[in-house]
Amino acid sequence: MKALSSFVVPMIVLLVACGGAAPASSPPAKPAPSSPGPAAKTAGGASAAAAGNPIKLGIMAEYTGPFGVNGVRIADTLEWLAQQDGNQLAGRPVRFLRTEDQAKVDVFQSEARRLIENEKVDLILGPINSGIASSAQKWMNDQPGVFVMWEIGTVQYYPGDNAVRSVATSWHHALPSIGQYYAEQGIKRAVTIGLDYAAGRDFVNGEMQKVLPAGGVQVVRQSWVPIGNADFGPVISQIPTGQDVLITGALWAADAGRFMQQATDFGLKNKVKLIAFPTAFANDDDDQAVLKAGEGMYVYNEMPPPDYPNPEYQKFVTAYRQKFGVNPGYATKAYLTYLQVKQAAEALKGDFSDRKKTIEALRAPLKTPFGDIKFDQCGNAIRSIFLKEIKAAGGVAQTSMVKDFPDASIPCPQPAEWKG
Amino acid sequence: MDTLPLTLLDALSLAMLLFLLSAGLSITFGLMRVLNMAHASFYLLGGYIGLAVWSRTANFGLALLAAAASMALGGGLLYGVFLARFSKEDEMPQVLLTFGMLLIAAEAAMIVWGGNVMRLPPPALLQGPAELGAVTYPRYRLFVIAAGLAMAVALSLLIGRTRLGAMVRAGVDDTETAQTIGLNMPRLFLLVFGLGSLVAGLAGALGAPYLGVYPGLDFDVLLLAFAVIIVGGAGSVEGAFVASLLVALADTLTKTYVPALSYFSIYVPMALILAFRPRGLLGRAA
Repeated sequence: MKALSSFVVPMIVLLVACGGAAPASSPPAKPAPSSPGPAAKTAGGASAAAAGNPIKLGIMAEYTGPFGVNGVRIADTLEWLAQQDGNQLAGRPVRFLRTEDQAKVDVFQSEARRLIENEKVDLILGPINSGIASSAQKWMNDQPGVFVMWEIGTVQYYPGDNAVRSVATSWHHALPSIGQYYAEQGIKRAVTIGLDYAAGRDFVNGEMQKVLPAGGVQVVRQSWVPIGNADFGPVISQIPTGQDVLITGALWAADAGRFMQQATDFGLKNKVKLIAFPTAFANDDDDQAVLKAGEGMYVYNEMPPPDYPNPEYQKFVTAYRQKFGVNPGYATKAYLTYLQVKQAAEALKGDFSDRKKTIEALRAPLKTPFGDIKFDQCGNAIRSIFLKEIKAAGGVAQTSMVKDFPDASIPCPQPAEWKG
Repeated sequence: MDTLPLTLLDALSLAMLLFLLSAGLSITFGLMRVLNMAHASFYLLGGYIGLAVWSRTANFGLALLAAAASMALGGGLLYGVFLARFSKEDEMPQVLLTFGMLLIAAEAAMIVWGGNVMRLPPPALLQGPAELGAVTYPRYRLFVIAAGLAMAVALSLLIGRTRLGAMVRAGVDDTETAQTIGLNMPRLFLLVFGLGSLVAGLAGALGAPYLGVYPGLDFDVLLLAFAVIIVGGAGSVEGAFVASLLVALADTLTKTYVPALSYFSIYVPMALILAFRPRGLLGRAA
């Protein structure tokens, strides 16, 4: 019994601690540093604009854990882009406040309230966690702040009147034309591997219902893995091989990198026809070891490849490489967000006080160096999806343009079966 | 293709890592009645230090050695400076202290190495797949299996055939009597604690090439280590080995064939053992 109590007591302590900490997929994170603000704030909006106070943009992301690297990229890129414009938007100084929601709804809500009520931010750029967006959707709709969703992929979430979503959702990638492309490559069977949470299931469902049937591809196996799953061995060992087999699904960030590396270790790459993941799988700003392990794989998402043939985009790519030492990949989401906020700021002359006008300005058609983006009545984007291949040349691995699928969109209003 | 051989190999490679992680914890608890919650930190920090040494030397062997040696030192310091002050009756203070150390180590690792998942590249000889007849399996995981088995044999010989091992066994069986007959228990405790930490650090470096090293890894493996000790029984290297196999099999088989059960597959044997044989499969009776 002494041995039993010796285990039970610490186990209780441990479980309480783990229950209070971030979920297994995220470490017990500390909030990322946010810029210190003065204790008392003047009211935001018109008087703030007139007083020349800075435009304050709250960046709600994760800076640690499996998605941490992308959160840092977004924040760093936004700040760098603002610096290129002299830290000014529409004649007002711009200031970014970073905060972290630790992938917990209650923390997100308290941080969002703090940004809106204490810091008096003009816009909140985020959150990034699909589970949070789905759970807190109604709560967000009731807030006085305006949310710019640059990374919520789940279709269980649709923007309310105070939000706009620029990112391609899990169903933007569900393009029948991609399935037809697979059929042209001789693919007949598919295996799906997906992260077991809202956005992961969305992406895989999109593949299953729209993409693969359009190409006559049969799904022979479905695997779900928890976020942060470290060992893909059990999944990889079950994948059938053959030159008519496609591996697809929903893996991204650190999980994707691990899968790629382990698939290489198992010799899987040469034993199937194609490995193609939608979403942010193998971004161009990932570790080169990850990208090189993925050579020959296809990815398709809304992020243009470094060789996208547009001079203005090439200028951005060159400048980004000089600043950060890598190609922009995930950081293109920050680029788009910045262009969107900048256009809105100029249209509003820097005055975000009118919520309705702010949303209209954020939802206005946007010309970007990698294609035009429009927004539908629901605040979701209509934009291009890029099919890319990971290639290595001169010791550097990066994605390369294969095909552009323009005007990808999702239904508006939200279909009943998608509502969370 | 029959995938069962692959699944069994996956389970075996996981089992070896679990064994290396938990063997030291089992011995320190069996001998010293110290439930070291910071044990998982040695796994985490072993991975990071192995990575740091590799990045400067490109020498995988040196990385493993550095991970093991540094964690042996760390374990010795943790015991000598902090835990030696407590008597074995001070369970709660030990737990709280070591849990605090776990959190401090996690935070320190975050500050030094950041939040990204990092990977220790294995040497070229161990990269890629090996063809084993009808089965293709990563060379590195085969190396982990071999290394784990070698360490199991070494630890078993150390505990079963050496003077040090005899002292450990005597201490596990009856600490007071062992002390009475003149065994230097404080020094023995220090050695054993260091050894347990060494093995955990080595496990961290061995796992880093394919599982990676990342914030939160320590908490992930801590639960697995406890599961192994509960199933195998405290103070028994053989118990840790058998339990590692069982836990790894349960985890791998469910992930492969019944993924919906994989979220709690390792906790079922744990719960059964606690309910029907609290001392574990091969643990000693209280």
